[in-house]
Amino acid sequence: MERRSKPLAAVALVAAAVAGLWTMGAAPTRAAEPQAASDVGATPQSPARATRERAAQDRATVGPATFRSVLAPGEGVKDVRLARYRLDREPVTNAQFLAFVRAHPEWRRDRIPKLYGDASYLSQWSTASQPGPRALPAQPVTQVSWYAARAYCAAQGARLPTWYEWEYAAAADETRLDARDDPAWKERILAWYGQSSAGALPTIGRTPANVYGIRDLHGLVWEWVEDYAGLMVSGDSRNQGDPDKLKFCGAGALSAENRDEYAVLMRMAMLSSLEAHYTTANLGFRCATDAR
Amino acid sequence: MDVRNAGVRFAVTAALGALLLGGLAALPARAEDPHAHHHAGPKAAAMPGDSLYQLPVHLQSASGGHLMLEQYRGEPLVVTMFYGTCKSVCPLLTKSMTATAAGLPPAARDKVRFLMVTLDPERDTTAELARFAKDYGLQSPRFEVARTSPDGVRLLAAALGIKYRQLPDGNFSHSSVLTALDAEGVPSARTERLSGADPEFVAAATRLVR
Repeated sequence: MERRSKPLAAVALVAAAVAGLWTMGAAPTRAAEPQAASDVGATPQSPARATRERAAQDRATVGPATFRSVLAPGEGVKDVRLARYRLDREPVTNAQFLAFVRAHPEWRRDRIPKLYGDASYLSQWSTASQPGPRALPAQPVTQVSWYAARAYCAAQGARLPTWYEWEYAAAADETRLDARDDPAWKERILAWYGQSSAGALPTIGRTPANVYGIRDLHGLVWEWVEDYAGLMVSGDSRNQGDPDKLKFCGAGALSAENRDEYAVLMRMAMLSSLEAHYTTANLGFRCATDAR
Repeated sequence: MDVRNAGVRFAVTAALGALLLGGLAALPARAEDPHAHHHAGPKAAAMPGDSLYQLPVHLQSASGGHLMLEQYRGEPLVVTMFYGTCKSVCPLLTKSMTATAAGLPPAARDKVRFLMVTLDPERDTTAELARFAKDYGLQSPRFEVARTSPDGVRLLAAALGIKYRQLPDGNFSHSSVLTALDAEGVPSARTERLSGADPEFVAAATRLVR
């Protein structure tokens, strides 16, 4: 791998720098606007049903599609085929996750087993049942594990999107299905990533809706995908004894022509570094379903 | 080896991943909920919070039996994931399982169980798994080769920290990990070494025998 490292060093630097900025920016420890804490406490008539209905309405239909991912499916296979699917228009919010936790108290932070969530699970909430001022209703829920995100989606009759589903939807801009070849778009994506370093985690829905009416795929939070464990696995399982290689050398997978897609590569690198019980301050999720 | 030549194209990935992971590592500690992790829901109530036996993983063994993963509770278990049509790494992985078993001292030998779960339940039917077990001399009940649902594969791989991805040709790229669970299903040792038995891992598995 050393052979190739020079030409790509710049990629690493840029990506790491942007990621660093963003990571700092999205930390929940900063003071958030002290408002509307009580809104979250208001119980809808039927939290679970309300959430389910809202989620169903707020899902956009995407595909079917054939596209080129930064993660090539395999040696010599570049095109990814996607069946039609539906994706949440916005990331899941604290208010929605609160409704879920109320309906499924085993996912409260004081009840979740260690297996399913690390010590930081929902740690930005004031209490196990009150998000409070640092987790506003319309902010995306973060500090959630893969298990919890899956459970939330399952409760809506949905699932987490796959990486390819996420990536394809995130390739669109306001008018085009695939804006990735446009340098101006790339620049804008990176700028958004930089922007979120200022202040508290923004509320959902502030970024422009893409052609499907989906928002916040860039510029708000990282998002879990169902197959996070399938990103950048070592292509050569004989690389035993070097856990870094095993975890991060995904290699065969990454097609060189896409290496300038920093934003998406960063996301993939970040997701591939996770374990299912991890939670972080800027990692949220949205749900998807098959489209019938 | 599952895929040739796949290891070297994107050289910065390791560095990038490490940087990002470094960022993630700075997670806030929390100690405000004294009861955290002690209530695992009705089903898991009596189990340690980090026990894998909380996973709703239903297994169908090569010998035809059905069982829940949690039925291994009570004895140490060495568990790994593989797939049967894998011609390169999985034989090594399988040999490291048998070498680990052979490396246990006689007193511990009959008290540690071994489980291999396929990543490929679609192609690894019970008949295929039975053939695999026979080829490698893996004898039930001490050694079990099993399949589960696609969801079960995801859950178990996630809990074991196994990275895997199915490739267009049907093969899998996956990390090879042996994990030793204590009698309560809590992971206590793991190894990714494939050349025979890992002495430290064998020692750890031995210590799990009461």
